Amino acid sequence: MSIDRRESVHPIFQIENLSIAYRGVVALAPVSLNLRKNAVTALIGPSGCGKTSFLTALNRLTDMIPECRVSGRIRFDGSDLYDPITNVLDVRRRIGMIFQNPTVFPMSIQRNLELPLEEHGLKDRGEKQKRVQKALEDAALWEEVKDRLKENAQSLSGGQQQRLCVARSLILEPEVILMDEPCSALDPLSTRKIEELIHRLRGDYTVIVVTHNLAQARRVADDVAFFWMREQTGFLVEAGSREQLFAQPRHPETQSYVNGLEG
Amino acid sequence: MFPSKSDFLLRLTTCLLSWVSALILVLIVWFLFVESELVWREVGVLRFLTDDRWSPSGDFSSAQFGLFPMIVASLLLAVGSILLAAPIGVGAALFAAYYAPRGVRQIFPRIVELLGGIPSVVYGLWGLVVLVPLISAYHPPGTSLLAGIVVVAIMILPTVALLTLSTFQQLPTSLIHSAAALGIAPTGIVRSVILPASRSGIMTAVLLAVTRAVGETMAVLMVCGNVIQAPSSPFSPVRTLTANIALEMAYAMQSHRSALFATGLALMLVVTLLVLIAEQQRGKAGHV
Repeated sequence: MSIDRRESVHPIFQIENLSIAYRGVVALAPVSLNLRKNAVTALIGPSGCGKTSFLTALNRLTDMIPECRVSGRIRFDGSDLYDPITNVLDVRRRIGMIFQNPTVFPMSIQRNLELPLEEHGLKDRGEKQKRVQKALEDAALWEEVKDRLKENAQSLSGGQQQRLCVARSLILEPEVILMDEPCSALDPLSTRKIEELIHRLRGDYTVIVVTHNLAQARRVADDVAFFWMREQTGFLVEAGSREQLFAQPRHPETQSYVNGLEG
Repeated sequence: MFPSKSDFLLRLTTCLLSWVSALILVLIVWFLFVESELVWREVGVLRFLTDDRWSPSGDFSSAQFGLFPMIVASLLLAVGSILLAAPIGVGAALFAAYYAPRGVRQIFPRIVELLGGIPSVVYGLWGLVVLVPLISAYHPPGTSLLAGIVVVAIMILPTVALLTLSTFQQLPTSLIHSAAALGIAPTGIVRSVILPASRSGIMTAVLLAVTRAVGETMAVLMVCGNVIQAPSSPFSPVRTLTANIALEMAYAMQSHRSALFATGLALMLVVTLLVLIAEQQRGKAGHV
């Protein structure tokens, strides 16, 4: 799938014939797609169409799923992501991920943020403190939690927990943030906060967000990729800019899906 | 609200059943008190701690009721065996949950359950025939606190390993995936995420194992030598509270019999003390 407009811009991910199978059953048929740097790309489509599988292949979290096989090639910032010499831990530091349900660690708010820093070798207390505050500010959470950093993170509301997860990713100063339906477990107000957050990340970070919610894709995305499925196998139908995909879809499946006729 | 008749019956039955289990505990303690009342009335509490020796027969003025060395032995045995069993059990559970190949993952809990099903007396036999001679070769007489600690540690290992394993299995996969997505190395995930998140479950496992260790009788009686003394080293023979009751109950009369029930009460106190300590630790675990 080639899209003229993005050929001109430096893509952060160049994906060629990426295919994913679980226990020998193909879940995602070969996908070729470029993702623009510092843009927000929404992956839309019905459940089971391989969006989440696609997303987890981008930070090699697929390595952790038993009997999951990834084939094809992904170039991340120019180098082969699945090359045996690629440092997975470093790649995952550069590519943060937010999950469908908030996954705060059962410890204090502060520990949640310091832990990834320490695991990546930062020991200096002053520096840690600075980065904790900066990450919380960037995730629009600082004002709400600055007086309760020692409290257990699980005492936060769902929306706050999700923003803490964003802060926990941002604290490692990543280049890319993957989001797997980040708002599907949240109320409308928290959803709005996350969407505002995505807007603020645009331009500084590459954001790739899986969503069921077409309205959300319309609100936050620069680019949209539309997945569909046929006989249990997901595949990419088309991708393009938000305006193009919603206003002038090239495929009839896309047209009926974005107009709410299917899926 | 007018609950239906069957709702009312169910509520009544479950309420009664919960009272029955609570009542059993009260009855046991009451029974121990009644049976040991003679010795409390004649001797008091203090002499159980201060008397030099344990020779509870005869009249009360000349008899000796020193339980202290046995309380120490029971505590050391329990603490020593859990210190040995906890790291092994948690380590085994970690391996079974996260590192072992699929086949081993499925077989491991079955094997450990089997280990837990071996009767106490068989462990005692093994200890007596294999372990005691080994220790004796290094430091006679062999029947010792150390032998008891090792045998009991093996006996409580299944409790620690299986309960810890089920704690690990209940952790949400997303927690581990999100740690991995932060680029945290596997050892870091175990140390900084899995273990802290499982702390309360591991404490429960340890608590159950400790109470089992304090209560263990037969195997301990077979390998510990049963000499009444506060141990000066791990190689000293010791007698635990449980062994004391089991050894002497058959022929005990009057004051002696009453003193053995007092031993039972002391045993309950030791267990309660350990449960309280563990509960307190678990309370702390909530706020890491």
